Amino acid sequence: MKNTSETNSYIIGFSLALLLTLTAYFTVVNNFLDGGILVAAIMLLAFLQLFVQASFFLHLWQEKNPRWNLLVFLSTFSIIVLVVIGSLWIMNNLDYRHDNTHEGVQKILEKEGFSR
Amino acid sequence: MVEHKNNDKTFLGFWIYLMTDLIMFAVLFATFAVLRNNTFTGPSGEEIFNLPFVLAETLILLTSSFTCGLAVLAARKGDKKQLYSWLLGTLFLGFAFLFMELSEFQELIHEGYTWTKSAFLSSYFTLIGTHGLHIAVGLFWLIILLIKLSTSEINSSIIRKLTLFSLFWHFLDIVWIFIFSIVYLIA
Repeated sequence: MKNTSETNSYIIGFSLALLLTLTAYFTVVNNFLDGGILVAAIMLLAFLQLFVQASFFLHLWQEKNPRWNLLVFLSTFSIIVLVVIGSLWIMNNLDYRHDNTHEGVQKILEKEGFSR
Repeated sequence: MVEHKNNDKTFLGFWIYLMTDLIMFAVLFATFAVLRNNTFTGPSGEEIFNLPFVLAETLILLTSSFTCGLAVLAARKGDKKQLYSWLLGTLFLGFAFLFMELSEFQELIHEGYTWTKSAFLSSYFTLIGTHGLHIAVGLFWLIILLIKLSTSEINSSIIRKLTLFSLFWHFLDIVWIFIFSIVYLIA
């Protein structure tokens, strides 16, 4: 009995993952969205897929107390958020401030409120 | 009961390893995201990626993750015949995936787009290459499991090893989903 329900869990997980992958793919190929919204949508679908696979394949939420695995996962996740968002933020800012062309310098001066 | 407790520790230890591995992948992702536009007269991602090909890779890996999960269930049921077929399926799909990844690399290198061409390509090859290396190690591990399985019955030790392998394999699939989304689709 337990075995059938576990098999079902894998089948549901697999179907959902398949659906999410194909949705993301066809959204991109058919240009349904563009620019920032597209990136946000793709990331949303990826995280949904992470959730689906963690639930149905890794059974992360069904762990008995104390939930060490979940705890380690969540702390890892917070480290990753800091590292990835931090890197992107700092490097983009650096990139923005290193525009040495004449127009670039003018743009920065104006944007930052230093224009003469 | 004691054995069950030891198993829990084994799983937790392996899980912590996977999480540190995930941090490594996250750093490689961050590097890639920072360098993605630094193409330095080389090609951009949009110009070199073949999306239908990558979709096929994704579906193959996803299916192998699925068959791997079913293999563990078959082992718990004690059904050796089913276990063999699911594991061989996983092995076959895994090799197909690795082969596609390598042929993609070969094609890029053949066209002159190597990792020395631009910062974007360096980070791309590092990220995908690290994932491919993990897949190769996983396949090697799977072959060892199959050899072990051919000489012994299904016992708790085999089930434990299989479960650890399936954790590893699901983990690689999840990492690949992010590669598929961040590297290929967003480009």
